Amino acid sequence: MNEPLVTDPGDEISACPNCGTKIPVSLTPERCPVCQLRAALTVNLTSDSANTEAQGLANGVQDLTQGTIGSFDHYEVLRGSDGTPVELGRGAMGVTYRAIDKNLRCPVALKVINVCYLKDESARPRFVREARAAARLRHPNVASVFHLGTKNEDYFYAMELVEGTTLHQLIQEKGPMPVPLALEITDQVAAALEAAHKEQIIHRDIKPGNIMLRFNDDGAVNVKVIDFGLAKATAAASSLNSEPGLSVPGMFTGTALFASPEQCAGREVDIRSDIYSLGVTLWECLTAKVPFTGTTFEVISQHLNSPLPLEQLKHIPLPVVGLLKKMLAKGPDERQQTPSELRSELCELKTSPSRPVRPSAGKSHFGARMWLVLGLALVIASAIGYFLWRVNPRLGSTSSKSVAVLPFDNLSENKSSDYFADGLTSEVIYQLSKVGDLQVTARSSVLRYKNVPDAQRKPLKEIGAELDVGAVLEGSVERSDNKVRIVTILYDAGTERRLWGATYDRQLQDVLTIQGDLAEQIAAALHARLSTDQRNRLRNEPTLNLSAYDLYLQAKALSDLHLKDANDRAVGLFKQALQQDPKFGLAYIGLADAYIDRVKRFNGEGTSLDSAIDLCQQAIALDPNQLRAYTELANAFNLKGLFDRMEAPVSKALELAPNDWDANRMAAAVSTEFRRQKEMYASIRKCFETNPFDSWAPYQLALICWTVHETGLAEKWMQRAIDLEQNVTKRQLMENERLVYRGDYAGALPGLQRLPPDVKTQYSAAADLVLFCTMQVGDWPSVIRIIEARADKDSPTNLMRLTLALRGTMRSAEARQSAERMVTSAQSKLSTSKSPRWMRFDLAVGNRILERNEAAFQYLRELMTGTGFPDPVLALADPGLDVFKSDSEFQTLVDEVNQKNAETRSQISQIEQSFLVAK
Amino acid sequence: MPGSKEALSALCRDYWYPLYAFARRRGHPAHDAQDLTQGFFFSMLKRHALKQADPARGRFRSFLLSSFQNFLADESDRARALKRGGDREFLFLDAQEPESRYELEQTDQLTPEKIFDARWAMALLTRATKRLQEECALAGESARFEILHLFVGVEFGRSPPTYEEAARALGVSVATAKTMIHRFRKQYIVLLRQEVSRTVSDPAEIDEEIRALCEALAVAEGRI
Repeated sequence: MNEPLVTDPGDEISACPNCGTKIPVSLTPERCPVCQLRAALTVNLTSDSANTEAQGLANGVQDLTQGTIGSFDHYEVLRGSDGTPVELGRGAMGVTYRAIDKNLRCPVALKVINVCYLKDESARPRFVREARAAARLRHPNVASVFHLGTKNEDYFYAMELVEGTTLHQLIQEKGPMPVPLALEITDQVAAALEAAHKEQIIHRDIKPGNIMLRFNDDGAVNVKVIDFGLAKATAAASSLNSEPGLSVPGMFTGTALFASPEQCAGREVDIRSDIYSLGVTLWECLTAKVPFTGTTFEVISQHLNSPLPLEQLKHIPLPVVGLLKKMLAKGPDERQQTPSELRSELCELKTSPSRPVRPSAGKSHFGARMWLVLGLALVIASAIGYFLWRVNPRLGSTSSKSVAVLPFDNLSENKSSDYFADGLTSEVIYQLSKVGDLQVTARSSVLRYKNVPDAQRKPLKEIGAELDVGAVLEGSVERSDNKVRIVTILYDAGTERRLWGATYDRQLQDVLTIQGDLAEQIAAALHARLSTDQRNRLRNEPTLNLSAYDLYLQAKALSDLHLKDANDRAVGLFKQALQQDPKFGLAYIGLADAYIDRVKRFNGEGTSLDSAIDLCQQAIALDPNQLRAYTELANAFNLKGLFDRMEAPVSKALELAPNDWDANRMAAAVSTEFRRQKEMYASIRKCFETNPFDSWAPYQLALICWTVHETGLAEKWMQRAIDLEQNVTKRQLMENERLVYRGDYAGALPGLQRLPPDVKTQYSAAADLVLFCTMQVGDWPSVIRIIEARADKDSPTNLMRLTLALRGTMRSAEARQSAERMVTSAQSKLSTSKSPRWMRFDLAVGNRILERNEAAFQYLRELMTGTGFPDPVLALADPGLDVFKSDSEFQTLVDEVNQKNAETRSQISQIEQSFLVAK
Repeated sequence: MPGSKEALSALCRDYWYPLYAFARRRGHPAHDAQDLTQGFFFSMLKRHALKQADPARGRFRSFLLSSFQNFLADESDRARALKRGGDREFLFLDAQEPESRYELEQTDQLTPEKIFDARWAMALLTRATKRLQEECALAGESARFEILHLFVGVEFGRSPPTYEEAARALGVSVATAKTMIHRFRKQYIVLLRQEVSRTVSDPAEIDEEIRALCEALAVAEGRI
């Protein structure tokens, strides 16, 4: 066996005990660079350092006022593009920020006690009490609190960051909701209260703004109650803990609109107060209105004295009205006494709607139309799948035939054989992608579950939900000498039920057959269709030479690091593997991939692509059904700009594995080049299914949607992409880019100007967007300055921009000269340019400025009805086209484009429907 | 932004390593990366390009990196053979040194940009140490610096002495030594902030820049 080549690069690294940043051990903690830098923040420069040096330094110290929010322990508050902290909400006691846990590199919600409360001595113990109370709660319907800390004088606590939408937003956006959905949400909040009640905790601020919703793909809703910030341990619990209760009778801390009469009256409250608030919440769900409105005083007075405006509920089934009346009874004794009681009534309503809710006082009557109404509501509920989906595109088709392979644990004593476990994981994923009937999560989306300490592992259910899969495979590999033990268990992600499992105690040699066997077994366990051909392909051993295979796995692990030096070593190892077994198809493909990486990432010579193409073709000659050979071949053609030649390998790859991420990504590349928006959307949509943590797919989908003016969907996808983007600067760029697509150019400009000009998303560079917005706001002198400073200022497209700017500043003669230069230059470059679309665009605009209208329209037609615009997303907004605004022919062309966009919109809607139906 | 040409040259000298590391991570071999970094500064000085580091345009760090990226892009179009040595050497007398520094470092999965930012942060911390050394020298306290500087900055390979050892070397009580170290650290931090302030256009951006550098260091996970 060869010496393992992958070593743990973390040998000499330790974590700073103060800030958690990893630092080389040679820097002792007191010299942690991050701690030293942090000490130089305004907020940390305390007065005792105000020696002459400090006073002499940047007056900025005093000018800075926003330095108080920064890092708290190992949490860093995130800042938006304008530099202000990202606030998630404000409660009576504190402000909640979006922050990042720097140790675990995951987002959290961080609640910091409100500055104005700092003066109040009583606030601190109360805040701590709240956090402790909330931390005791562990329930699927409650956002967990997991850390309480102090910084200087401030208290803060970290809690689970719940992504999704608030019930408040949903109602604002969509109005009244169907009864079954409202009851379901109420039931889940009641479940949260039930858990709280067991811990003798009350929330005291139940309202739609504190209820987060996430919709699963089947339309099922998942509710989490957030901000137990006003929760207080009840007197009983306090006395148990021998700490005095902190109730402040008479001090109104809740939201008046949702407050119970006893809260309004300043009396002691208990869990029944939460039930009342939940009643108001249910009322708002059903009617999009709250029962009592007016000034705070008026609202309080109505909660205390006024009868419910039941006429607002006239379309609501009577049993539900009965339930609401009971929840909203003025006296706590007349309401459901516990959340459990409420839940059982809700349950009766949901399952046996003919039985009335037991009234606590008075009588209720239930008409025969109740059935009808409830039945209708249920029909509507299923029809609102699309509506629900649109609320939160956390979507897709959770099919039981979708599976995620979590990174296998390496249980070998020799940790340096990690590459072996990693390699096996990748190979199993690859084998499974060959099962056409299965949808397999791509490697990059499962990597985040690698090397997670046991204590921090997420429940499989949660992982299943995050990856949107029906099944999850867990496994471990233990290798010693010539033996290998592989343990795998396949779980149903929804129920965590074990579907299948196997332990392979074998000779190392057998590892070559185990993968195919595993894939076959998993396919069978998930009832996936497997054709004879596919089955045979799974049974094909990649090589019979174990030593070649080991070299291959080492090379693959290095290659996957995407580093220059590792790439060089990987190439060497792949070649060695091929020397040992010249018929080892996967090694050809691995080598091709490494060559492609050289060009993509390390400025490699273009000839590397020719080698890659040659290698893929050799792999195909060895096995014409080798999926990855086709996707890599397409990739190489793509990078060479040979788009026509991509079609054949792409269609073969899709035939072999219709759900494969790489195959669909390459299909999208072809459709993008040929501006086939529907195909593009369909392919990328599939990519999102199998790689849900990659921001590429949602970002691209957003761009397509904006291109065809499907703005609602575009916004959702963009938000998703932004949430997934790990790089803070890129995320800021995307946030501002979104403003550009919304047409808010003036709003986008300051944020864009603050970014480094070269920061790029997959589509836009900050500098380009700055130029675009500067043109849009008509700041022509700045446009001229920007272009003059560009290295390629004489390119036709820059000359086109310059011409527009010269016109904008009334320098007509110069503008004409510039237009002449632009047209001449673009004409000469049209046939050889890498971006002929831009040349056509420039020629259209230039000729129109020079009043050569025939030529201008010829190019414009080619663009608008033929090749498509160079920048389809912003095409029609481009100021260059302003020169055509008065032409009727232009208007006709625009109408055609709009017509086409409308068609694409309906196609997109169909595609989305098909994903809904699939589940 | 420092005004004089000397100050700019000094700034370039102190910050050339981050750019060099960036070029290396972009895949340029060592000698090419040296040539490119050197050529970059030479062209900057020749074109008085540092004057374009317009105070109204944000951070010096971003300016330098984006200029360097443009330079690299231009260079890749031309023949890349810049000759070493000659009159360009005045900027970097010890051009061999960075390579040994680089080779000692672990490979990792960082992008060139992230590498650059983390190295930039380290360069700043080092520069602040230098400033402190200069100030101590001016105040005739070089000996004190020799002992106390081991408690601040980011110099690799030398662990700070214990308080007792420091006290012995300084000829003071342990309590006094602790106070001296505390003050020395404060002085260092103030200089560090000053150094950051020299690389941003607006004092209001200092904190933001410090946070960005902390973020870069956190992302680098010790590979600095």
